[in-house]
Amino acid sequence: MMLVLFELLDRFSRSGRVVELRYFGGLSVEKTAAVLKVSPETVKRDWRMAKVWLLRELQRNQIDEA
Amino acid sequence: MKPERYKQIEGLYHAALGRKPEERAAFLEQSCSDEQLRAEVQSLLGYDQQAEQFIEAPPDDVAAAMLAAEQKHSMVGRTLGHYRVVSLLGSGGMGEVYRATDTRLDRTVAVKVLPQHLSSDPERRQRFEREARAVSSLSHPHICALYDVGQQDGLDYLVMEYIEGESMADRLAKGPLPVDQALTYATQIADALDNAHRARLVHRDLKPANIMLTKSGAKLLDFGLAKLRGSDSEAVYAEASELQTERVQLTREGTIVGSLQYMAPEQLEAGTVDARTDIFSFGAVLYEMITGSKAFSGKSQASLIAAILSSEPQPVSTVQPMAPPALDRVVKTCLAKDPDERWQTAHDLGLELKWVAEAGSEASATAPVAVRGRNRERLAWIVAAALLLGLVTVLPFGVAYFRRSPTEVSATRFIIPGSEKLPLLDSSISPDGRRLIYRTSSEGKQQLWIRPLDSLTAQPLPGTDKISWPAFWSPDGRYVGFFADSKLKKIELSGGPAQAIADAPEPRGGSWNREGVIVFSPSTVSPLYRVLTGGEVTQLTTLDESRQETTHRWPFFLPDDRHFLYLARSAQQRERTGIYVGSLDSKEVKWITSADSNVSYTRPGYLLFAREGTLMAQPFDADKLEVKGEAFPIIQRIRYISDLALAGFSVSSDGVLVYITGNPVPNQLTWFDRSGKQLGTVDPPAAYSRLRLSPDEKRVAVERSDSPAYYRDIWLIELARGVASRLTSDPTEDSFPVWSPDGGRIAFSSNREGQFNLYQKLSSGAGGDEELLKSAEAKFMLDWSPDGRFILYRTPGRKTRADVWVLPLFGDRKPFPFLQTNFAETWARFSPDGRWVAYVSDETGTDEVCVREFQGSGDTWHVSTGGGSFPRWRRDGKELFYNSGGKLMAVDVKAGSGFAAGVPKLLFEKSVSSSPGLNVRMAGYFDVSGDGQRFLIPVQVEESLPEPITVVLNWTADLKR
Repeated sequence: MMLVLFELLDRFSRSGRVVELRYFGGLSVEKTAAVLKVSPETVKRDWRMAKVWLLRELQRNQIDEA
Repeated sequence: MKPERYKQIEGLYHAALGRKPEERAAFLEQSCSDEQLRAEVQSLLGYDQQAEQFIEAPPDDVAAAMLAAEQKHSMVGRTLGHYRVVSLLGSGGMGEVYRATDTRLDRTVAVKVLPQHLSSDPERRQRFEREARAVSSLSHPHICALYDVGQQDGLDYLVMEYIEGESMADRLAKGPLPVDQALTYATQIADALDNAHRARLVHRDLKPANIMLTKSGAKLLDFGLAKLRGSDSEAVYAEASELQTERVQLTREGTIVGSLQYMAPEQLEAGTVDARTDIFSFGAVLYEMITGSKAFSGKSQASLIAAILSSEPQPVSTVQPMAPPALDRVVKTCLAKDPDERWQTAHDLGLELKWVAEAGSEASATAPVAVRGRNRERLAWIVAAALLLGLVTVLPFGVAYFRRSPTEVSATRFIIPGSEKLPLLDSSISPDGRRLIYRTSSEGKQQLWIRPLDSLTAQPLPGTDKISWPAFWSPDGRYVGFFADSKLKKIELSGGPAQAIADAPEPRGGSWNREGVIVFSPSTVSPLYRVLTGGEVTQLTTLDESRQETTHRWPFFLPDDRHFLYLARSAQQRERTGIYVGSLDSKEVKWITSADSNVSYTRPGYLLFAREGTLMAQPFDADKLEVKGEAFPIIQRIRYISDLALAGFSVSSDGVLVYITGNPVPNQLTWFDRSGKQLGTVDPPAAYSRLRLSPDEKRVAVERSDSPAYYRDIWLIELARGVASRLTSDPTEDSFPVWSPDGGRIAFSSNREGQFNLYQKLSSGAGGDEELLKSAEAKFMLDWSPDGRFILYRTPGRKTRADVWVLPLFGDRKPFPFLQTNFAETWARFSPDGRWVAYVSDETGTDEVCVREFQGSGDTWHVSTGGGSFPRWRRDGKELFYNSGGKLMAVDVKAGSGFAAGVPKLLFEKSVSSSPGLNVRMAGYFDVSGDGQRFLIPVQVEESLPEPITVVLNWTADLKR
């Protein structure tokens, strides 16, 4: 459950950083890009991938637990 | 998964997204031959649509939007069921809370309206209602009552007790609580948790925000509601939005806060939850109440989680000096990473807290706490928790014991032979009767072995090579508890190192119940103590002074896991030496039956114990805790070590009996020269142990055991003629013979009146035994001063371990201590001029020979290096001999006005015969002639084989015939 998020944050570091900055930090794509020193396009790609990944893992966990 | 793999998936995923949805499958088929990779990307693509809005808005916006949505059709003024909503009290992850009036009962209530997305799924709704009902059954002064659940216009709501006060979170924002107030609240919360756990409900989200402080004390909110959130993904979601509400703290300290801070390791790791999870969270809250700081913190979620999983907070008392030290242990045990190492019930925890509160800051780390709470209940809530988690597995705890087929009518016997190299000391059968552990001795080293009964081979258990006394099983058969290195330890049989649990300098047995409580006797003169594995040690029984009890030992849990049997020895009343039953729940003890040994209970209702070297059985009602008939003998000549009051048997709960018979092992007194060459033997062979040459070296006084009783008597042997005569004949232990300087008398120890007292007798054998010293503690004769005025003896030392005392044989004959420290001192011997005393101390961690002046400065000289025991002086006082683990050592000394010792040298190595089961410290059975040229040592007669272990399956079958 919670660990999925933290696995992402820890292990796939840039995607994790993007989630941290975008979601928890409330930064815009542009600001996130500036912080991470990558292009906004890259942030968008990472963000999209991270969301899909997270959502899937969370739902999978939900199934496992049922 | 490796980051590279993630990159691969990511690349392919984005490439596929670049295609039209209907072309994606074909694209993947073409561009990727790795089937697993393809499946991974396919699966992610399936979530793409759904994920579009997922966590897109920052948490602040989510909360704001939710609030706004609710306010659009504001609840205020509306009626839900018969509850009229009056005003908004607050909002959180679980929805909005309103103050409302129960129009039927005309009372104020709180109504919590759940966010709509939680109640859209019918299956989830059902579960929500079911679980809400369970929560509503709780009725406790410190739990916020859940009155009702309902649904109206597609809105789910909970109706709860209306509570006025501030939340613990708000209170903690102002700093720590005064210790007494914190303890009061903590005790109330523990009591509330206990109440809920007994109803099989786990809070799952205990944190300061869920504790309200009211005029009538603490109130626990949202019991079990974390589960009602429906799914854990939403729990994460709710968590994230709650972060928002505590943002102030977030920005001020730069740390992440929220429930996460109070979650238990297992909750984070596996999402598994039981009552012990709440106990962890409770510990974290308690920590914060006392210290004002978080038990765990981190600058990111990852570091916070890492802290919870691996770090230990500073002890409470170092952060808050006002906190009683005993609280450290309470909090530490709550916060153990492994749930098995925590307080197992909130009830236990509550009792500890009450005790700490009552004892105030005086409280030390020992809590005389009796604990109630049935194991069955605990299992029940574990099962309940498992069911709450939706696990289908049901623990088969109703069939914890397997029973043998009733058609099996006769007892089956087989033996496990020992060998000369590995004589068997004692054994212990597993609770299910299928595995045996036994102890062997080899060259002074002892080792524990495990052998399944259906196997022909045994495995040594690593880490048990210094074991002393019988080991004992955990009830589930996974662990073995044992004593080694002055510690109580446990070892997991599936592997892993042995772990020390508690100090036990001179251990006398232990027993382990299904709640993980071990009751044990840490020393020869102690009552019983209890320890929850991983917890602190607390005294359990008290030596009864009116009965002059000197020891409680060899505890054994009865099947209810609350009561235990033990042996108590009385100093003055032999008839009060026997088996008692005690309880974890009260101080009361009850006399059961007279016995000389350890005791076991076995189905269908027998006590087994030894009396005078015979294994006895006595019918026993384990519910009424009383015997139901007379004791009768079942095995003659059971191995029995009288110093320890230990009989060599063990029985499983359903009747597999293992035992070792106790024919005293015969040996022969043998002379050796300084090189270890055998010079001659002394007849007759018998089971000799400690021995002492007479001053004229014409006779030897020696302890000798004879069948069947196995008690030792003192015999005198004329060396020239090989004629032995019995000096003492009391049917108890007569041991530790010491000659008077003129050889006219023998002083010795005997427990004929219950306790070991000191006596003397003419060495001619004429006359009776004369009492020298009688007192409450055991006394073992060590030496007689050359001028005949003083006797040295050893006492177990209630607080200071073994000590050496002096009995003056003149004046008021009032004994005084000679060596009394927190270390064990023993085997003291006067130098031939009476000025010096050589003795053994374990001050350095091992037994070493030391010397000091008998009446002098107290300066100590260390004589041996690398271990040494049983010093003997040469008659001219210029050489000392001692035993170092089977090696006979000699060292030149100068003992005049000062003292100096040379370098010890090895004379020869001889495995000095020892009684089975006796530890090395006691095994120095040798003496040396006055000229230092000849050594008299009992050597085992060659043809005698070590005794085997006999295993009897279904031993009660023989009783019915």
